[in-house]
Amino acid sequence: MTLGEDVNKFIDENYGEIPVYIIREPKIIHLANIGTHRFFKHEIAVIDTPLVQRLKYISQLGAVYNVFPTARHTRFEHTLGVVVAATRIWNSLLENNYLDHLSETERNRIHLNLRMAAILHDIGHCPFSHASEIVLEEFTPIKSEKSRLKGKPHEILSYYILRSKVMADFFEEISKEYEINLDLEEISNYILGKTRVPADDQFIADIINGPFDADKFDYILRDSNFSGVPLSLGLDRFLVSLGTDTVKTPKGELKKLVLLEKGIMPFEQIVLAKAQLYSAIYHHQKVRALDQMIISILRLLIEDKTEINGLKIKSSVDFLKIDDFDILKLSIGNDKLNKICKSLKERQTLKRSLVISSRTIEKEDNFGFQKILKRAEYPSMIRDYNKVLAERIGNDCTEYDVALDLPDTPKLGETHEKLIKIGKEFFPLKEFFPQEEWIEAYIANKWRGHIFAIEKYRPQANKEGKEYLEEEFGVKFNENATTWAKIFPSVKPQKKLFDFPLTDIR
Amino acid sequence: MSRFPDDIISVIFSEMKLEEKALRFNQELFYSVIYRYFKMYPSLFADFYFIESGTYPYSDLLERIITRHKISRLLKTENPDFEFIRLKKGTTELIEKELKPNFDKNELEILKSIGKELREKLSSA
Repeated sequence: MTLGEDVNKFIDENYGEIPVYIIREPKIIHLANIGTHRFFKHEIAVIDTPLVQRLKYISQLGAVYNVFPTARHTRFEHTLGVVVAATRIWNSLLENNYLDHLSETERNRIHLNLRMAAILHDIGHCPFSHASEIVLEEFTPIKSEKSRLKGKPHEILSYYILRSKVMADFFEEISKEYEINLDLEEISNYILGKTRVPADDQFIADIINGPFDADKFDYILRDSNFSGVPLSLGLDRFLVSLGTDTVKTPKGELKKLVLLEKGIMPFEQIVLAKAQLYSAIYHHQKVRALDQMIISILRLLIEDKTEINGLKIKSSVDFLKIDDFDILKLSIGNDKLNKICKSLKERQTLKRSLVISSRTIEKEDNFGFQKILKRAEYPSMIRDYNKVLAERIGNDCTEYDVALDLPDTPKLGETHEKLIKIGKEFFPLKEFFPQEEWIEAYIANKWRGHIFAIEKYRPQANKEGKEYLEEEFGVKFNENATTWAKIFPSVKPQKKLFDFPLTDIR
Repeated sequence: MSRFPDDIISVIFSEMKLEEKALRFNQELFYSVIYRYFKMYPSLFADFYFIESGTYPYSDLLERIITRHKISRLLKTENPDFEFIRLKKGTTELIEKELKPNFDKNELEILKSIGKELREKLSSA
């Protein structure tokens, strides 16, 4: 069965016929951060479906709220924010005469499709958002579709949900009821950054998924504001600095979203903000430890064929029916899964046992360090290392009690695209200031990998983890690798657990 | 697993003679050359895919691999603008000894051609 058929079957069995609610009038929705906005009647009918409502129970930033307590925003608010940002970009293009080639009917039709793509762009997200992406990719059909459709796992799932029979029937009813003409195929294309006629319409898909997309505008501002990590962003100026033009691409000449000169400064701010969000929030060591716990939970759900709300979880496609709350509810019970869920709920996280970075590995061992890093591409291989490490630690330690973590780095590809228009020429951001190289150097310096472990195994995980990586990859860790892990007993001093004196740890 | 996608790029870096001479990195040029060979030899670049709707062919895997080379400091970027890249001293020998045996003769010829082309293009860019 192909992934498309699998998702089609799943949506049919689990969501069945989706009722079309009769909404009498447009609704005004008040949104912290971005103000008050009007949503059309048919949009409310779609927002009210279980597939979109589910997003209210999926945290935008996984379990980050355990570290940044106010980061409680969900995929649902983000979704509404993307609708608003996409509309602002569209209106800016309209006001600046970039849409004059379209008739009013065409403009209205595209605008409605665009807003609908924004509403639906994240319905493929699974519990705890990006933390679940690794487990999604372990499902072979998703992994193979990733290279074919060139999207992230959740985007591919969103795409296939929209291509399902249930959604086709639902949208047929919506179109009849509200007398509109939504193009479901094109809406699903936009989510992957594609369109049927890219030579004319690539800029529309770019608004949803492209170098200057609405998704990015919303998440950077939202993640920064709600986590309490302030960043300076001139997004308003950026939004009015966008235009469209025909540019050369490997696919031929496409009409794309381009940036005008006045948008360079806010673009620089966005690129900087992205790198800083990674460093401050997404790569915070505690956040990474929480992500590793979520990965373990999701793997166990599949392996144990856990039943949630009457549904047996057999593959990661089944995650489309569950949310963060379903996972946290599993914290009652005594098996391994219940215990990890309880730890996640009560913030009893995995803790640093060894820090892996260019500053914790001896300078002459870069080649060995690269051997460790290249394993990051294969989570199943990392999992095997966890199993070996657990065996070496012994004392009933399991692969779920330890985790080798090698985080991904932010993508900065958009800074190299020749999309900044000055006169009749196009330039990449680096023509004005070699900022991206500075940022890449910043990222390389800030990057930290870890071995995490539950409290009771930390000293052993430090010792065995260090020895294991040294034997396996021919590296030598310096004392920072242990010192920076700050292995202090957090409950009460248990000196006997340590095989080195506490005075050695600064 | 005997070889990783990172190894392909490590060998290309060594064939660019980056240990001997630092070159000004140009992402568009670098990605475009790799993309062309990816089209010609898909089995060699089996793990890669490129997005073609941007102004140059973009691969997120390629970006991750280059970043990993920088994190490990195998690939050093030089001040003041971090635009010049150079392989750390002794790396070419390690690549020769540890990575190249995982490729067959034909593949090594292809990687050598890519390295040569990139060296020439980046030198004159």
